[in-house]
Amino acid sequence: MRLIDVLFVYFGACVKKNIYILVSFLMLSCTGDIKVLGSAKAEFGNGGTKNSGQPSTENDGKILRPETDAIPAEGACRYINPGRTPLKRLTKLEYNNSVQDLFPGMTIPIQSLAADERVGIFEANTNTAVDLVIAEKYMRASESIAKIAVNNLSELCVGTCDVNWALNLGERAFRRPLLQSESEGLTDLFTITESKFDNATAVRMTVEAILQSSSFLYLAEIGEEPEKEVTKLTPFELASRLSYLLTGTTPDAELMTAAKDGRLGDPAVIEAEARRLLESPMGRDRLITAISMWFGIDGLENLDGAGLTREQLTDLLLESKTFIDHVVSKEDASWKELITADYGFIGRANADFYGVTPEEDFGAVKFPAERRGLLGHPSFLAAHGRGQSIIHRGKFINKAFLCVTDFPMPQGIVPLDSFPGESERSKADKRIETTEGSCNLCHGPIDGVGKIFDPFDLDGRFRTKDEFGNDLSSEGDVSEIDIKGSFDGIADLADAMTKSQDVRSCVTKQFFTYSLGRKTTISDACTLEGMKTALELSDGNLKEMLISFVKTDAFKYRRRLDIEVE
Amino acid sequence: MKSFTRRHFLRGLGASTLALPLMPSLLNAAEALQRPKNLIIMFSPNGSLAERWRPTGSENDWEINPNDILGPLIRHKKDLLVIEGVDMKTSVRANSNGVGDDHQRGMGHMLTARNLVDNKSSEGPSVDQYIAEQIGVLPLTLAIKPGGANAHNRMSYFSSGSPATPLLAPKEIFESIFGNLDQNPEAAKQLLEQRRSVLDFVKGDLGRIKKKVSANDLQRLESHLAAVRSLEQKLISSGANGVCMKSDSPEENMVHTTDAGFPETSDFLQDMIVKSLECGLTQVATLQYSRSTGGAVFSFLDGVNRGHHDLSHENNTNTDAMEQLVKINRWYAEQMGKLIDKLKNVTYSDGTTLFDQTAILWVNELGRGSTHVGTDVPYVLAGSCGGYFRLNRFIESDDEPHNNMLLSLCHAMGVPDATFGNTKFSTGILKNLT
Repeated sequence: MRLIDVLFVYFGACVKKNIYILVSFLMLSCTGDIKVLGSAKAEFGNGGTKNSGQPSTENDGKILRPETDAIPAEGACRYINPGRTPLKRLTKLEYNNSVQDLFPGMTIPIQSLAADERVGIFEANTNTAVDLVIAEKYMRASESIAKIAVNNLSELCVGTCDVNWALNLGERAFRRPLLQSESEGLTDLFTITESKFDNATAVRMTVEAILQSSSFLYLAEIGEEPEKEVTKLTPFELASRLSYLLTGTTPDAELMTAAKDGRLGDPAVIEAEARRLLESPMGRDRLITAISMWFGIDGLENLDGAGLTREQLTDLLLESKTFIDHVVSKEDASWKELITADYGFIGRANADFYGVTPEEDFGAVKFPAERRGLLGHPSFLAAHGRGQSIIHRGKFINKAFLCVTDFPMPQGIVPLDSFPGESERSKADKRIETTEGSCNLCHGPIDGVGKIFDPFDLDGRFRTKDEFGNDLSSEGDVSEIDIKGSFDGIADLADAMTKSQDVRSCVTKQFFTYSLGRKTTISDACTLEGMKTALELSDGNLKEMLISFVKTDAFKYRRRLDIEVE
Repeated sequence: MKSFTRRHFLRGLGASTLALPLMPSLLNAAEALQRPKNLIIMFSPNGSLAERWRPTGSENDWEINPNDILGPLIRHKKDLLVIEGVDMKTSVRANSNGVGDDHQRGMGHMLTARNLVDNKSSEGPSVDQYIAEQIGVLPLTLAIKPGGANAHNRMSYFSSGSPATPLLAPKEIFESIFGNLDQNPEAAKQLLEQRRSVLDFVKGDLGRIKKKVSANDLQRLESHLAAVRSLEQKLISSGANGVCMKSDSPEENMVHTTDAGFPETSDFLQDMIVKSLECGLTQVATLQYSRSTGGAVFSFLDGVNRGHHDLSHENNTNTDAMEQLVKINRWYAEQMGKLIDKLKNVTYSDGTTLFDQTAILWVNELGRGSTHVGTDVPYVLAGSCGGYFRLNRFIESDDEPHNNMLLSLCHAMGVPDATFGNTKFSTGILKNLT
């Protein structure tokens, strides 16, 4: 462990919206290393460009390359440079997991809360505010959970639930020791209610109050020394960060103890805890959920608009989750295997999708040649197959795996003519070739990739001819990243993706966004570089990438509130 | 979001107690005059087809082709004001700050006439939220399959710019509107007292945490705190409305999460809006069907087998796609017709109806889906809003900005501002509506 004793020499700050902060100060560690939070521009030396990593909303009709991965100038990564730390409000899943953990021994039904925001393709409530509708949902959810608690008082407390029970619940729900004002507030609420009504009412109202509190609903990250330009998160804040990132729920007793003992300051302890959480059942579920979001198949049960029943959709999703579970449970937990595996786990009821019948329901089978990994799962193909599937699948592949995302539709352009019975490939080729109205600029990269998946119908079934009798082919191409070229079939594309530096960068960006609930910016280049290296050294192990992430400054530090970067 | 002041709330309560329809014999002329005006905004996505939407004829001598999109509204023709030629100028990419794709800008500008700030929030309030705030009522925001909180999916925004969360689940909507009306007064009073104690703790906790967050997050927590205060006021005022007649609760098996569930859910949501207006629980409601780029497949309609958004991108040469689009848009016209019927069915002793006090505006985030243009957006207005709008007309605007349409709604509802939305484009109320 390297104990960093910090000394900031503050030279000056200039904060303006959209102008990079010019802050320079020195940070000395006991080992003599100098860490500087420099201006973002200076940090990248000649390797950075003024536009690299800048968010863009307007591209003047040109396709944006993936964000430039400016390789930080030598030595730059000694700087502590955490980017923005947006305040996270629990997602629906995190809320429901947390309340279940707060009331062990009881079965808490899934509560109906408002739909989560998405940052990129991941759920994260980091932008919008709680309004009346959401506040009322929280009230009703807290009331229904409190009712269950009161009906299970024997599970809740040994003997009678008293003020100490209330304070203990508060501490577990807020994931930290209570402030004095909070203890007093809870004590007042409990004792006054108990004397005015009865014990059960006091218990009920305490649960309602705690579950509607912002300290429960948000993951507030204030830091140990909030007055400093850069502060380490408190051990309790780190515990929550670890726990929600890796298990999607409130910290367990062991993690809380490590935070209380002050041991979480030790990077070795952080790593050990992270490994323990990743290997726990909740950790496995969390990673499966994250990967499902990454591939855009979460919520497949609710997919509308084709011949698939809810039961079929549920089964198709289960096949994919079984497969993801299998891959991440292996020691190498490789993202490459997620897209290149030539096997899957097939439900008997879905055998006709594959033309292969498993020996046992959801048993392992070798995939037919046209399918490889998750990109060849009917779940993935159906989730992105609605409507003009070449466009939708192509757009998603660009967004999720190539990080090529900016595709504005030009206004006032009349769609190209099509004729009855025309194949989707023919329509796509016209879009790719038409320069008038700049159709080709977006449809080149989108439809080029999308065509590879053309033989699969909108539900994900393989065909050799479409419904009009046109022959189908799996030829397509990638034009925007380092694996430029033509590909024939999913296996061909997936193999190339595993060798692409750009795709590897994109994987780290996706998991970064997933972890912190915000898009990456230029501030994050060092963090991303570290994740990329971890991914490379471990031959694609997603768990090792997450372990490397929780050890970074971006994970352990935050900026002072008034110098938050947009 | 500004918090509702006590004065606002008392005004809201005053209006609602006057509006109770259960004692018609006691209603005198003076009360009838004070009956509140109501606004309902109904949204359907992905643009329209002008050539199949536009009525024929001139302003006062006009006809709807029964086979076209507005066909299902023929029976209400004398109560309609069909408006063509209004442009969503603020949403044109070159006029805007560039945030959002065409669908997102269409959606985000549609009721705000302001720029999006990012993919999730707006520079200012939407017209429904603004009017509600000005007249001191809590708006009712309902939707079918609107998706999560981003610019494709939200049309209603608070003053803070945060999107308003729509209510979706029938049971939850019912509870939210009528949940507190059936208890005996003592139990209701006790529940209110307990809930207020709990909310006091919640407010205190929010007050503590908000001192420790960044400016951006502070605004979110301020909004949260305002929401808790609004919730408290709502609980208090719904207690005061305990005499309002309760509506039938929704069928247990009503499915609101599938495309097939649209007809049944639409019917229920409309009932909830009408009942809320009837009971004076609000004066402003929005009803959002699907979302911008919504791909609902209306397979319950004969001949429709593709998603709405994809159909909207087809060239006119694809006659099958055009027919499917007409059918989908006719279904929305039918829903507007049903809503009008429901409002007309609430009658008062002086022979007037709830519909006479109300205006419904049917909006779309684009003019035409295939070209993504925000020009020539199709507006259908029904109901005079207490005599403000002059009906049974088809008018062609000379490319006025849609700010003016929204400002006209403000004026109709008694909020006589000079401009609405981005002042660079707002030039007053829309011509020739009154």
